[in-house]
Amino acid sequence: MKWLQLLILAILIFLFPILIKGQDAKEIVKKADMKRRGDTGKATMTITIKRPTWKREMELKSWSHGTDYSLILVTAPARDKGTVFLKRDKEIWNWIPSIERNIKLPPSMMMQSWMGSDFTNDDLIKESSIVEDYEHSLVGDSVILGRQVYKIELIPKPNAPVVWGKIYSWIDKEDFMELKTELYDEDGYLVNKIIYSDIRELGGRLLPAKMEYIPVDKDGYKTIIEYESVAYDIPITTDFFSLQNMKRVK
Amino acid sequence: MRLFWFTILWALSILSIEAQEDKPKNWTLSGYIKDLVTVNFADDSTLIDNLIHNRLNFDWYPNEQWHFQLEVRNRLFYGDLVKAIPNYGEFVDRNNDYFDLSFYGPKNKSWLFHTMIDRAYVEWYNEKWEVRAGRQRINWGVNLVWNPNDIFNSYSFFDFDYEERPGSDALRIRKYLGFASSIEFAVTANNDFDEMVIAGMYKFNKKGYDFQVFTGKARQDLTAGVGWAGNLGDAGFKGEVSYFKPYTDKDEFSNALLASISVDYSFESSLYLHGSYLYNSDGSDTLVTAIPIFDITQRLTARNLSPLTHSILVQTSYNFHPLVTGGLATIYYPSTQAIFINPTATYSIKPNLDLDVIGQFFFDDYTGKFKAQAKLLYARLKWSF
Repeated sequence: MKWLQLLILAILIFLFPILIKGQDAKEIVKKADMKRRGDTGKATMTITIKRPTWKREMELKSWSHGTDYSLILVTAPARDKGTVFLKRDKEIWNWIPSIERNIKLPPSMMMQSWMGSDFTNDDLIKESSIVEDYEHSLVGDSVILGRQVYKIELIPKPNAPVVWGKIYSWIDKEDFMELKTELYDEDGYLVNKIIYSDIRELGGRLLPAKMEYIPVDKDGYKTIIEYESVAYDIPITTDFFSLQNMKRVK
Repeated sequence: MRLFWFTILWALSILSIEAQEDKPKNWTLSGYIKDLVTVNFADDSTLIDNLIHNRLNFDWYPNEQWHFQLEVRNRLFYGDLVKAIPNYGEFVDRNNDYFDLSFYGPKNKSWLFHTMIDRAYVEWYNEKWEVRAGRQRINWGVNLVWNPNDIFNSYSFFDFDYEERPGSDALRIRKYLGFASSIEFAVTANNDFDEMVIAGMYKFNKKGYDFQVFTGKARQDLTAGVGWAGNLGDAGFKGEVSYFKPYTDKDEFSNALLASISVDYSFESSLYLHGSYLYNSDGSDTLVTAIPIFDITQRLTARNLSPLTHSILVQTSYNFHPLVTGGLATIYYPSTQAIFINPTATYSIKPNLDLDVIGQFFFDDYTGKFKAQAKLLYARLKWSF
């Protein structure tokens, strides 16, 4: 149950990435945003937590409809296989196949991280307000993975309730995808890096399939999300997100 | 030999492989192997037992409307308790099942093999309907520990090594009315009407709460109840209330009202807190045996979830390390001097290999002075596949 927040984050990152506003940056980011956005979606992914002495992987399938509806099926490891989470707005249910029972989870369960993953609750909650809370500007160009990219700076607006002091985002000039992100604290120190790679066709669009979230000051720590397949705008309605479907999805 | 279904299980898996060479797999086989060491600190001696436990879960989906499920539990016991209890097999093989799908042997040796099928059903379903016949778990509980609404197959909190919990030989028909709304009817198989459970339930969701109401007969009682699961702020809030009114021997059995209520909350630090209360109007205020919680001579049903009127549970858990979780559950019986203490620790050694260390301690003053009546320590290794 502790990893629910991470799973939902993994889905939201894909369907509803950071929407950055700014005079020149706005159009660039909007294009990058539109590219990943779909009203509905289905994804197969692997989440890996890496630590200096151990590593844990989880494989899952997810279905989503907007930000309010999601269904997540855990397909590996064997210990958790068949476990399903359903989220409808603020309500969350957990299907446990071994006891054939649905348990309604308290909303506070959402605040936990999985296996001490490098994502924090702030990543989930604050990212949605990044549009309003930052001033965006185009600060340069660079080359990542042999691709020409724009470098965009995000500075929080005065009194904005954000944890980061500054964010840099690198976006592909031609295919409008985010390829790197740096998150700085209020004293200007680099805290976390997000590195995107494995660019390929996902759901008919060219996108990075691998995302690594790296805490800079912790050697050997990393959280990796890898998308195996993605489908956008699949024909499902909100009826799909039901208690009976929790038992049926495969 | 009743072991024939082993062969069936494996034959089915092989047949499925043969038949499904190119198509996506429409069956799954999963399970686990566990080894449980129990150390029982009795008054005059220490009993050590070992249990090797294997579970096989087989699911087959021949098409989008049919589902077959077969689950087998195989256990090999050996140690001091197996030796000490005459015919340990009979003791272990206790169940409420109509069909005899279990086998044990040999008798009166220091080891015992026990195998049983605890799920074996066929299911037909479409978008709205679901019909299931066979041995299945009809889980009507919504609360976390005590389930007065779970009238088909109750389970004991103390029997922690049986996560799947027992099933019932039954027919269940359900119609889904909405995303969290359904109406269902279920009946258990039995030659004796007085042993049957026949009941219907309606579930619905309103204002962020799941509600359920049911009525029917549960063995020798007429019964009705309600249950809910929702939240108070960010905390979970669940409850179940059931009323039982005997229709047979009114002198021997009395009316019983059981109610359980729980609140749980999970902090960002991973600290989890859970409090539950169970009321049993038919319970007593004093202990009638030294260790009522481990008394399995009596069949556990929804109307006797606790032998005492009031039971209070406080449970907490915390991730000391991403791979290590510690927990402590305490059940307190306020009407008498009795308390159950249950510390647990789980370590994820490898992705599918877990080690659990569990303690069960029961203290009461049944013998005149307050002392530990049961002291049990368990170590369990579990490999899932």
